[in-house]
Amino acid sequence: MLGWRLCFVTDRTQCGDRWLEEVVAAACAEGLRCVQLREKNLTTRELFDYGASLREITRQHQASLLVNGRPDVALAVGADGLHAPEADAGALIELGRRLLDGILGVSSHSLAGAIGAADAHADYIFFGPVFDTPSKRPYGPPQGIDVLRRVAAAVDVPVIAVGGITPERAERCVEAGAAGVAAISAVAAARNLAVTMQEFREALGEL
Amino acid sequence: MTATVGRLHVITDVSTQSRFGHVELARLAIAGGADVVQFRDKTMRIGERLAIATEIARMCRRSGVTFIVNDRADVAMAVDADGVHLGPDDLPVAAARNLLGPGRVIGASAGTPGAAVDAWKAGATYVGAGHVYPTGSKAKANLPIGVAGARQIAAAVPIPVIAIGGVTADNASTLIAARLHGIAVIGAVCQAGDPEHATGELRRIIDELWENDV
Repeated sequence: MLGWRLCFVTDRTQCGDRWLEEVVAAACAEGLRCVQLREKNLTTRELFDYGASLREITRQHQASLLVNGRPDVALAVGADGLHAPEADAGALIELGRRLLDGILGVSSHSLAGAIGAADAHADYIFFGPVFDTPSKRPYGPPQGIDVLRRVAAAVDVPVIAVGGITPERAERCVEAGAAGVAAISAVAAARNLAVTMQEFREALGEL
Repeated sequence: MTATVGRLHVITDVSTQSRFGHVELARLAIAGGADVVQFRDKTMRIGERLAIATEIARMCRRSGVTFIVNDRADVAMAVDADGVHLGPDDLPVAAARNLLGPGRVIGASAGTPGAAVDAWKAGATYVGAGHVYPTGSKAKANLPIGVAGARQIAAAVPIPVIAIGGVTADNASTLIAARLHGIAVIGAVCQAGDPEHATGELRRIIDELWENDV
């Protein structure tokens, strides 16, 4: 069991006039249980600094912290796990297993990819994009709820739906067999975070 | 593990030349007499980076040469390298020391005595002082610190200081005569027509001066 149903995937460029740390702290205060640090175009030091701040915040709220793509940063900040993008999944899972004592998650963008990730003993699979969203267009056209349903039925690993996730869509994902959802903009750009988190709580049963 | 900090560091670089890959540069540097090879790449995917680091680590181990990975502590740990070199954009020295344990080499870049002292106190094994001379390897925001700047850094810390930045066969003797522990080169080897020969020339300069001196 992962201990969370909603993962906030960070994007500092979508936080409007707030700092990423502020958004994470506010979301954790509203009950968020998992944060994935995923920031592009940063130096190792900048990523480490974000990771150390988010580790502090998540620890205060007993929430999990995962780091995308960087075992060194995950280790250095004491994260709970590593998340591997699909393109580097093989090398990162191997490296993560050797170096980390935490959970290892993988992104996959097809049914075949999800089955491969399950065979590689990933602890969870991010599957998507389920719905259309600008941040996930590089990963192909939306897969839709029906493919999500097939993936969830095909693997015995928790499947987390990603791509265009909103509270209303989260409910449909769970109905299709997803163990949870991951969101960027629904959290980062929420007008009223307390309301959004409550909606996610209702859609998912718990956060 | 007690890897020593050698005097001739060769940093593999494929961003300013494309005739040689990292593995080939490491092989030529080892053949020419380098006692430290530093693998530096900021653009590769993790799988390729691990494959190259594994190969260089094997070559270095066979030759008794110290192998250092630039920036990536995870890669260094995965291939059992001797250590890492950290610049200002990389992990903090203390964080890397925490991951790598007490035995491994951690080099830290420093441009001032204060930065060198901080690195030493945080657990650095050696300091890369620079850039000493103007260099074409990277666009630099700061002015060269010169031989005098490197000497000030060496006077401030009790760990080896390696001069880096624009070091060539023409100025290496000046740096060694200034009693710096050693030199690190990029272009002087990677861009040389014959990297093995260029390394050998630097090796002779270092050995002659240190033998006459000690």
